[in-house]
Amino acid sequence: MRILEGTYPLKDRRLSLTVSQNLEFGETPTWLHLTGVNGLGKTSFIEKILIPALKDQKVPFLYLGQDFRTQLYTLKALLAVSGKDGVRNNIPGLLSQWVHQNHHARVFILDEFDKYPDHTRHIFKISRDFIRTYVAVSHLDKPMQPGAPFDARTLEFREISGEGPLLQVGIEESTPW
Amino acid sequence: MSLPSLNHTLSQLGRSYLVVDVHCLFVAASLREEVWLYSQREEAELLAQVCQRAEAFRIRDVNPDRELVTYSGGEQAILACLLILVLIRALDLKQLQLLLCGVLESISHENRKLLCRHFRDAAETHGVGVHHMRDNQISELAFGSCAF
Repeated sequence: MRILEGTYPLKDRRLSLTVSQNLEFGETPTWLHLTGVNGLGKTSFIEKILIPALKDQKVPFLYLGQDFRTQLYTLKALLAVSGKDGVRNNIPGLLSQWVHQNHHARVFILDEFDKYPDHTRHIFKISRDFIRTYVAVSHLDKPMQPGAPFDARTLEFREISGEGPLLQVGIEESTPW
Repeated sequence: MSLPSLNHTLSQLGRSYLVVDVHCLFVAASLREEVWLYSQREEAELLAQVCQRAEAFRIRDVNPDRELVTYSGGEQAILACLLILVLIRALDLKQLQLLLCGVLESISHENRKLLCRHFRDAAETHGVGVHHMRDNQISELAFGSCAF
């Protein structure tokens, strides 16, 4: 997985995101924490930069968005269409089936999913054998991590300038913690 | 183990708490419409207070007519809380018990500290109680640390 350095104007989100250096994620198991104050484009980065890059590079991925409750209906429908409708009201079972069907994925994106601690633990447990990189937005003081052997890396979103029509935001990797 | 459901939460807790659920923060499309639903009239002063308070959270371009979905998820959570806090003061509501579901987890550390100060003020002036639900457990918010 590679994100090229550069400036990405996202006019519909009123943001301009500048990635200060090329970001590379290979086979080393990594947990990438996206952090920064509200409104600096973490979700926009995921949806407008990261996911298109993954698609371009043909890296299979899974994505649990901020509004999991809405996404849940999609997951139920997907599993029902594929004949797996026995777990409709059992969230862990449903997640297990969905993840199992996508065991070829190498990147798992979790946008504030640790607001559901039980489900986050479950996701780590059922996916850590094949996922190489977790990308997680979290505002918790102690974000939930998959643990060893996943190395923690942090991408920090910082406001550069609020002048002009687009909010200028810098994205850079900060010291691992 | 289940996903917290708003219907379930309301049926269990709605008589005791005003539930603020991150998955269902607003009914209307803009702050102006949201306030109109509460009061059935234009509330310019009230809207101005919400927008003014929002500036301290560095929410850009906040105005009563901006579509709520164009704010980030965390910004929406902050605006919902500010709207309730302003309403508490405007309507002089006493002893209201708030239950935050998934709200604090959506707000960055500095903004959370600032929001906690607003909640603490409401607790002191109007006896508001602030609770949050995590792992299906309800606990009272510690205004001092606001650690999460």
